[in-house]
Amino acid sequence: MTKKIHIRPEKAVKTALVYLLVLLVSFIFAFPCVWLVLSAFNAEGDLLTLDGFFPQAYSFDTFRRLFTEITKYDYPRWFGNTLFVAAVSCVISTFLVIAVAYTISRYRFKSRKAMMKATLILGIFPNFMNMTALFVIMTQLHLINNLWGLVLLYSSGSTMGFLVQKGFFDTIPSTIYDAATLDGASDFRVFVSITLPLSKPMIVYTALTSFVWPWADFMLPSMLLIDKSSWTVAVGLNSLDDSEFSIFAAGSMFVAVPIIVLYVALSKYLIQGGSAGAVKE
Amino acid sequence: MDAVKKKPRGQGVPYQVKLSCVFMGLGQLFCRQFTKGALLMLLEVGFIFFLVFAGVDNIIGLFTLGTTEGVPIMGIEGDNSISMLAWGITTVFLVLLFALAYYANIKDVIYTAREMAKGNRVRNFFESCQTLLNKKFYFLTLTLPLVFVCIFNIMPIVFTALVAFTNYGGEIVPPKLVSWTGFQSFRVIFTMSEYIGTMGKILAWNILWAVGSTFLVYFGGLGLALLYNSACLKFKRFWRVFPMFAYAIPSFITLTGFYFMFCDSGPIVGLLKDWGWVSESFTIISYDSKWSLRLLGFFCCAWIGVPSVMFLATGILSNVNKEMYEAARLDGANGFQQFLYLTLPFVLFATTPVIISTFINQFNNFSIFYFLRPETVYAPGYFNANSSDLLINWMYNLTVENRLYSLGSALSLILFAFMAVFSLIAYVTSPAYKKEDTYR
Amino acid sequence: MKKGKIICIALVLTFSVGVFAACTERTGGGTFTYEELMAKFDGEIEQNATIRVLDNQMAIETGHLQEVLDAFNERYAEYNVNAVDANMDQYVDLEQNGPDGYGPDVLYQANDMLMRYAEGGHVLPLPTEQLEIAEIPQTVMDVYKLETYGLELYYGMPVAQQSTVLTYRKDLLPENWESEWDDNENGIPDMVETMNDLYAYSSQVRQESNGDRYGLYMSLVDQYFNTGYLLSFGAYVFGDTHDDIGLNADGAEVGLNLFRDLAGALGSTCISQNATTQVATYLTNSAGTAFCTIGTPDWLTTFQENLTATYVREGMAQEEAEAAAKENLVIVAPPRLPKDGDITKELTDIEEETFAPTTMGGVNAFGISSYTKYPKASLAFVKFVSEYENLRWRSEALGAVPARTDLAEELGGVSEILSGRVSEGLIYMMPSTRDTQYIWDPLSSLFNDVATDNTTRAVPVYTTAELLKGALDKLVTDIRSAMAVGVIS
Repeated sequence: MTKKIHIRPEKAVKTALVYLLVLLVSFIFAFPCVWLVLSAFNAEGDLLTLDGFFPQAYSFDTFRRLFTEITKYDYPRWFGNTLFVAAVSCVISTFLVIAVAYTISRYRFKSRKAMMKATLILGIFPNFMNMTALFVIMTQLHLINNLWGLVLLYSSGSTMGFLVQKGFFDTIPSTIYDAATLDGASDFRVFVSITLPLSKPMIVYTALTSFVWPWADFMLPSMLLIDKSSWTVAVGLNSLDDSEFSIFAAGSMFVAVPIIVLYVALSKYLIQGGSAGAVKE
Repeated sequence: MDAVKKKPRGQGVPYQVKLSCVFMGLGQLFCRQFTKGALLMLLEVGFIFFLVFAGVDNIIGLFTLGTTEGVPIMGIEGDNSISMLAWGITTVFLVLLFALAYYANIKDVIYTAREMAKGNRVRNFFESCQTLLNKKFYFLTLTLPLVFVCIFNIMPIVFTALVAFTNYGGEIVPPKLVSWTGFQSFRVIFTMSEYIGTMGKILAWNILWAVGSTFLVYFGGLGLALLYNSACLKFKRFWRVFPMFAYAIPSFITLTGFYFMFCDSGPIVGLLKDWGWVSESFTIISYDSKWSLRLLGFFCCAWIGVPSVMFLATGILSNVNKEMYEAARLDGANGFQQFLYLTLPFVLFATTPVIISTFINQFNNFSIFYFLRPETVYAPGYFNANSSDLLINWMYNLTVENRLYSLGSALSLILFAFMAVFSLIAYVTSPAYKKEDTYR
Repeated sequence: MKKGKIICIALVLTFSVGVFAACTERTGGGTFTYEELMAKFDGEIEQNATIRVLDNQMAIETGHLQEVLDAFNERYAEYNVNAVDANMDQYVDLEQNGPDGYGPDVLYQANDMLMRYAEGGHVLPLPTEQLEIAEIPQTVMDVYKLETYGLELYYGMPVAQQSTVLTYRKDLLPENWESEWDDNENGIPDMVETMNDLYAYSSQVRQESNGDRYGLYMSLVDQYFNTGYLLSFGAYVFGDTHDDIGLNADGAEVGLNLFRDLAGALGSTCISQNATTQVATYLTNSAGTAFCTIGTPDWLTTFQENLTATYVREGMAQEEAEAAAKENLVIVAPPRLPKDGDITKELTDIEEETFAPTTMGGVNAFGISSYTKYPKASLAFVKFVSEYENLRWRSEALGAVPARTDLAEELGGVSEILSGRVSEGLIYMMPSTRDTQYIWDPLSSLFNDVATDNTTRAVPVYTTAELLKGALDKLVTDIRSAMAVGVIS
């Protein structure tokens, strides 16, 4: 890029256009979020009390109700359940996914290609296409109403997405490994002392995505959790009536805000991780 | 088992191999690998016990699907066809797994016998374990995930596939006994006018949706990435926070939010009416709204999906070779030409797998229309479906809402075949796959 | 590749043997005598039983269920019985969850649900000789009767009757209603007496308020409330056999046209299931968004609570507000319909030109899951809640209309109105059969379709009686195919 001190008119127009577009895009993305947040502070519960887009009166009443009217919506409990499922699945899936991706990327063995192709085919079959089957299997394993059942499903489900991480490991030149192996390091040591430090962005990316899936999922918990005390936030919030719109909005805030903060804080890793793994040069 | 016949060149089959063919681990014992041999024998004994006490019954159950009907009101349990089906499949899996182990056992003993014939020392148990840790590291890391995948991904698919050949669903649910009915479900789907008509309409819309939304999301994301990459834009990090919102918020919240915003009593429709831009009867989400809801679906899909492609493209664009652009600029190429001939081919090439996976995800995008039309109402001309439903929504209506399990399963098999063929072709012909090994 | 072959062969074998297996002999359940069926209820209550009770959302939210459970546990303290809230969704599927032990032990359901379970064998026949059923009308008991093993068995203990009534806000009546809206001078406002006047009033309110307020506000897609318009003009659900579906009987199209006109006056926001819950806010907010609604009587408690809260917010004292809420929420029988089905015209002689409508009704009952481990404790609970005093408790707490006639008489008000309508034969009990499940979705589609036609559809379709008749014929066809698919699937 050459440096020019004086601004050419066409460039000024271009800059203005870019800013205009960026502003428009930002508005499109921000507005629904702002709207939802403001609705959470609506003094009256439902949608029709809005004046145009915004509530007529604001109050913290919905938040009080959300945390105190336990017989109606046991939000603290739902939240705890969601956190448990998401955190545990995150740890297990990250471990499994990294291990599988590394293995497939680093080693050449007989059924390797077949496994990759099989993963691809299985990936087409989304979990809830087998809703009935999963339900039956989970009843046989006595994992209905059990948060560990969900943890198992999410962990095994996210393992199926190892191709992204494999793509990343592929980019680590094999010369590094060869040097280490010549020094007599075992495979396990190579993995711990060389691969892991190099793949920090990928690990953060993996952990984040495998946390977010259980955190935000609705289908699996709605099918497997019958007892209200085992519900997650997604199931609970979706069981609300339309007239409880404010409660829904307020409850959503506690789900969305932590994720937004995490994403914004870790956006560097997200961009690196996602693009490094998903693409090939 | 076939491996047995493959004799080591120039000599007969060692007696240890023959022994291992008869009983797992016996050969190893005679190769003086006592621990390994004992463990293998224990495995076979355990397997025989399993077969005797449960396995054989399970396999018979898989064929009969139960013979005595239960009477719950008398507390008589009877056979539960569905759990018999599940356990039958599990047993078949275990038998296959055991056959695999048997095969491995014979291969192992052949190897050891050959080594012994060469006069090499036989590895002891500890050494075998070490080999496993070192040479077959992959075996260790892949076992647990494979078990998981077998139970939670492959089993359900086999189960669903088999259910398609039964009459499970509707009136036939436990305690009633389910039976095998061959291709009846498929016959119903392809002959009952309700089904075939609905399937045609939904399939056409589903393909249109998948193509349209993939295009929208992909090029939307690419465009946005280029926009945010403009040299004249300051505070890039700040501006990128906004799409981050859409990326981060769980889609069940986003979609329900959009439903509330666009529904009849919501602010958008209300304001449009107040401003007099639309007639009093204007509606976006109503019982039989077709295109208005479909367009809203495209919008919501873009809102949710564009940011992820954008971040991906941003990452890729940062890898673009800057010198190429400099050269192009010197050659007199304008911005658009640079985009068309440099950026686009590079990005397109780099993200073919992303396009494929986006297409698959959009083809099976369940949540969009599930949340945008929260009430289960069926439009005229559709059987158990509405005009905006995708195949996956229809399947949900059939199985979860109406408990027509066998029909739903048959439908998912058809859908699966369709998708599998498509994506396998797309993936195998993609440059990324072909060049996988040439990269290193 | 060899492995692939083996798997292929195994699969082929599985299928082929599977097809043959369909021919293997199977044994049914046999038959049982009444004594055998009821043996499980004999004897002392189980020690340390835990029974999960599924009640409706309102009973849980008002805390009534918990109080009942506590009282029950206290009475049977010597057996250490522990009855608990099943803590499940109100519409949890016993058929799916029961066999695996995840369902409730005792469940409160409407008759179509409970009897669907009964036909599938998922709920137990009850020992009627041990229950207080003498004061329950036979028509109500019949709803829970099912012939099993040649015996006439009852599968539920009827507790509450459900049908539609009209609830309105007295304080929202126009000032001049006595001169303008009481043509027959009987002291009942015409807009809650006849559908023609309700239609006129609703249109007027909507017009005057520019669409912000409603006269009548109710869900136009609720099959249960709206099927009454068809039934009033000669339709029926099932005839002697289930092949005979009479929802398109001659005259039903007149009722459907009436419904279509009504939809025009209510507007598109009512074309949603949510309108049923939304009305709890609209009927009771300070803006007075809705003047009246047609729905089940058990909503009254919620309405009263909400209205009290509104009054308190407006500055009334708590007790004063409670009294005012009770006073201002009035329940009357559903409005009379015009004999010719035209609600858009003005009536000249109310008595001559209108008739009392038929509405769909149901009976809610407690049933016991077949999968319970504690049938005796469950039965004890059912007996407990169906005691006279406890039924009254329930009715007072939840506004439920008791199934017992003596209690209905004692309570008066809504209970009396509904009991009266039952005895006049104006309540069409929804059929207690499994096949009833197939009518709801097609009916909902029909009402959606027809209501949309007169509200948001750009070019209305159902403009003539023939076309409406066609819609009804299609409804019946749809129900038939749904039933057919249910059988072959």
